[in-house]
Amino acid sequence: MKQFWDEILAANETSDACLATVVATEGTAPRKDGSKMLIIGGESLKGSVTIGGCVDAQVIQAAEEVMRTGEPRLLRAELGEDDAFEIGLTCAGALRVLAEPVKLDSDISLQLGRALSAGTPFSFLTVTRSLLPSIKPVSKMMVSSSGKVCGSLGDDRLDSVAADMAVDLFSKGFSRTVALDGNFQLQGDVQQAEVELFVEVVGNHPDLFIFGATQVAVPVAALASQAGFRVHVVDTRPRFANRERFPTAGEILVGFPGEIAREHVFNQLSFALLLGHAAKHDLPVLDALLRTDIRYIGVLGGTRRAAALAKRLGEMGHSDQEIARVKIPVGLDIGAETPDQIAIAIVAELLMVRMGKTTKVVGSALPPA
Amino acid sequence: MVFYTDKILEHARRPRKFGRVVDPDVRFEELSPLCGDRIRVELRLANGGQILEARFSGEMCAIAKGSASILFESLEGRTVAAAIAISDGEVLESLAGTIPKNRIQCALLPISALRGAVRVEVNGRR
Repeated sequence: MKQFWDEILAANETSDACLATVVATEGTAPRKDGSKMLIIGGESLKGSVTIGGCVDAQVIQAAEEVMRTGEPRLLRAELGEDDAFEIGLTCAGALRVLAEPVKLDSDISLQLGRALSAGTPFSFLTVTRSLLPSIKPVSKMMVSSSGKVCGSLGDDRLDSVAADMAVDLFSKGFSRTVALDGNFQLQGDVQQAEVELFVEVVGNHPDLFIFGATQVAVPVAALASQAGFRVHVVDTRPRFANRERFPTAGEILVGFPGEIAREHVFNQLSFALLLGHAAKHDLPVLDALLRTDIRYIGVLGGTRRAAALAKRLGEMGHSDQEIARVKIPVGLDIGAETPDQIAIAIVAELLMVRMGKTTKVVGSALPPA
Repeated sequence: MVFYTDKILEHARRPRKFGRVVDPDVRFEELSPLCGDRIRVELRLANGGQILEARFSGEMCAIAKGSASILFESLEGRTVAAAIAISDGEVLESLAGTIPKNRIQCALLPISALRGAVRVEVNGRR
């Protein structure tokens, strides 16, 4: 994602660039809010708004008009079951795509560059539709995690409401379009909305702390990084916890795992896995984690280990309710045996929890011809 | 399980001198590179080299923790020279039982860390 925003900043220097962003999806559209395509002149194309096919082609056509006129367009692409199949997509649903000239004002461009360089997450707000003369489509505002604002959407009251919404969505890690009435209050019926904003949360990946740089931790870290987690690997042993074994980890911490767990701030976007099979580390780590608001704690192990950990945590003063926050064994029951397979089972469970889903096989047999 | 002597288990469950020294004169960490036991030694010293306060902390197995507890219980009041004169054999003997070969490194981690701490102190004075 950072790389793409760097591309947007670079495109801001050119005169004929169009940015297409999925600002809302309905049904089972193939990509999610915030997916982007950057079209520069008649030649360069980066990213996509769907998984390819006719819709992307339509967006590219619209982009040419946007570049020619300098006016933004809000496109809606319906993907009915049959239509989706006919155009080669396997998903039905609808997309709304904002196609706009890449034209960032200097303050936002400067602030964006700083945030990207520092790796600081932020929210990026764009007016996608407005019936109010004072609020211009594609007006932009950047909001930090603490609510500090750069830019304006054209009205002080709207800026204040939008900043609060951005901070709320940032804390949840969601990007979404919000519909507002003429008083800038949330409007449930999109058709009645007078202003629509796309609030995009950028770079606020959930943290995954892996305690124990073991053989299972290696593929877990790689898969979790690819799945959008910011991975932190913790171990006492530099021979195990190092960049060679964990090239995609955002951070490698060598020291006392219990102390590291006590010193870090964990929140509802944080996940932890204990993959080390060593009570000497697991107990101080669990003791620290159970005193936080962390979203998920998973431990590799079986029933004997579960019983032993529960007993010791109880002796340390944790209630049954607190102890029940620890999930053991971690991972979906898919018959995994090797470290790579176990990693798939574990990361699948992390994703399930992160997205608020439950386990089920999605597919069913094809109907009779 | 025979190597978890009653004495080791008792000290591992209720370790003495486990904690931190406020503003220590010497701090030293030692790691058992494969099993991951990691101990921190902190000492407060008098001018003459007498150990006024000795504490250990960290995350380690029962043998290492028991051994550290027994060792550190005996340190305060000794000089650093006398402390590092404690031999490996004396440490193993103090555990009141036979430690199998593959766990001796756990039992000797605390004395090794203490010697490391004293080396830091001596080198710091030079």
